[in-house]
Amino acid sequence: MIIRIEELSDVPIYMQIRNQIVMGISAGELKSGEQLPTVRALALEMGINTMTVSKAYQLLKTEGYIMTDRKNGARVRSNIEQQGSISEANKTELKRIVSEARLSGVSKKELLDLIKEYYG
Amino acid sequence: MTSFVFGITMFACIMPILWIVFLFIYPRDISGHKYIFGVTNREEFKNEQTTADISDIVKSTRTLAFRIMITCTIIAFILLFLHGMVVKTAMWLSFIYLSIIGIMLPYVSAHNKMMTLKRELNITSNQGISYVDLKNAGSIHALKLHQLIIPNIVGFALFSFSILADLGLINLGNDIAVAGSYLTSLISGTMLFTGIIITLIAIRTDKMKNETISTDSDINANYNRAKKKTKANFFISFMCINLFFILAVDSLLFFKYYNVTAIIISIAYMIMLIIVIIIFVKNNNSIDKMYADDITLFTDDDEYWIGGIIYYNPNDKRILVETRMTSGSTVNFAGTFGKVTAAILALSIIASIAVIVWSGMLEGTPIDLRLDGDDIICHQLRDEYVIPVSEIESVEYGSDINKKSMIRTNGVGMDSLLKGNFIVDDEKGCKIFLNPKVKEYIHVKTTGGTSYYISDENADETKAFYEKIK
Repeated sequence: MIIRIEELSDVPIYMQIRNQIVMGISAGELKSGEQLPTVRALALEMGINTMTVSKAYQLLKTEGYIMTDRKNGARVRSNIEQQGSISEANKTELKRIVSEARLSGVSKKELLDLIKEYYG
Repeated sequence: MTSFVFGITMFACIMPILWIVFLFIYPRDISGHKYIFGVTNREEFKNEQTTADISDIVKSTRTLAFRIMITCTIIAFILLFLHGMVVKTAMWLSFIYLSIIGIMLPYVSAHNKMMTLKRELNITSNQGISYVDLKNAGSIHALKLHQLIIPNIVGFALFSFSILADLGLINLGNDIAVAGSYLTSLISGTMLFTGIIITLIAIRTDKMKNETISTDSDINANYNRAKKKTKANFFISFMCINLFFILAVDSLLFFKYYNVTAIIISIAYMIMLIIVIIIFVKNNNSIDKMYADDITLFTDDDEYWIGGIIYYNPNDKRILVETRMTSGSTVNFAGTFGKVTAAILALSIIASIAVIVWSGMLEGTPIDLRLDGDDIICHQLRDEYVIPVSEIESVEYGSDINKKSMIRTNGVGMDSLLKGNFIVDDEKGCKIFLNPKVKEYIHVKTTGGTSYYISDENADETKAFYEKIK
């Protein structure tokens, strides 16, 4: 799985890492139980501070996407908790995206097709 | 003679390296290369018109660089015929600095042209965007540590052997003139230190960031594995050559003709090193060509490459990055390590100039012998030997100092000045303070068993001083 980092983006780097790992798990690019690189290795690869990667991993762990232990490092959780609902923050984000799409002249069908494609 | 050998050695070492650098950084065909004068080779550069423009830049730059190289070669040849060690060293040092700048200038100019072309093509830079392959992060290594540690251990053993021989704790026989000079220990110690530095650089290089060239993790893994393997092989070969050098230098302890054999070994070392570098660069380029069509992702950090040579990216925390000019690694000069490296480089340049100035003062200041009360005083610059007349056992006048075998333990060894501790005709611990161009000398032996070989500014004054003290 390839992670794309934009240094000049408004989104903090730790959040970019978190978002892309979540997308990778959702798309099946990262399988359940799959080993993630160590904080140090990933920081070295990205040329960023280890604290940034650590923050992303910590967030992913809190959100229940990955599990970490001293012996095995970080792994994708095999039993990600399925709440069956969209968080309020994501609802707001989705509303913004839909609004922008409507203002840009994107049809409802196009938008739904896109969601279907991403949802799989 | 020393001055001439020095000139030949400099010519033989510097000119082949300069020509090899020229051939690698100014190739005829640059189309398959990953970078064109430090600018990422991209899809937009491959249309007919742009290819023609780039071809013009490559051709004109190569022609200019070739002319500079020819000029450098002629200048280097002229330098062979200079007289005076200090003048020669100063000129060679200036030549090295100027030729390095000279060979870089067309490259920097071509880099600027390429950057202009990039802007003219309206290529929107995706500066600040980088890719990381999560699957391969930190998992690709090619270096087997024992392959570097074993040569270091053997090198340390050989260094220890030379130290013991120099200290006289190992008896190598009476014919071994060089034992006790610490020359072998110094050379093998320097090479051992070089080996340790190579080991550290090799480890750091092996841990370097993997390049993400494709969305396919397998391609990324194979590409990086091949690259790191090539680098690991280079470092291991370098270590082996280093070990060969230490071994050869140590074996010199058993030879009588130290200087000639030492020059042969040094030349052999240089040749082997050049061969290893050529193989490394060729393999590295082959890998880039092999994967040229697989490159679908690249990090555009052209803006961070000053002149396509110096990497300065404050946002990048990496210490080492892949160099764009030749093959291998360079440091990120925006980081602390890079700044320290830059400071060391600057200090080295200043120190080399200071050494030349000091050498000039040494060569230009005549030796002064005088009788001061009950002491013989040998004086030059800040050095002074004092021989109490009461301790003199014998005084002899010699007509040709050059007939004696002299090996420097420490001190100064120049065409017109020998000063310090030497081994003279197998006698260790002799103190020398003379100008070898003045063949006549005075040999003073003290009751303490120390031999002094001294001379004044010229033959007449040396003779007059001998008459005074005999």
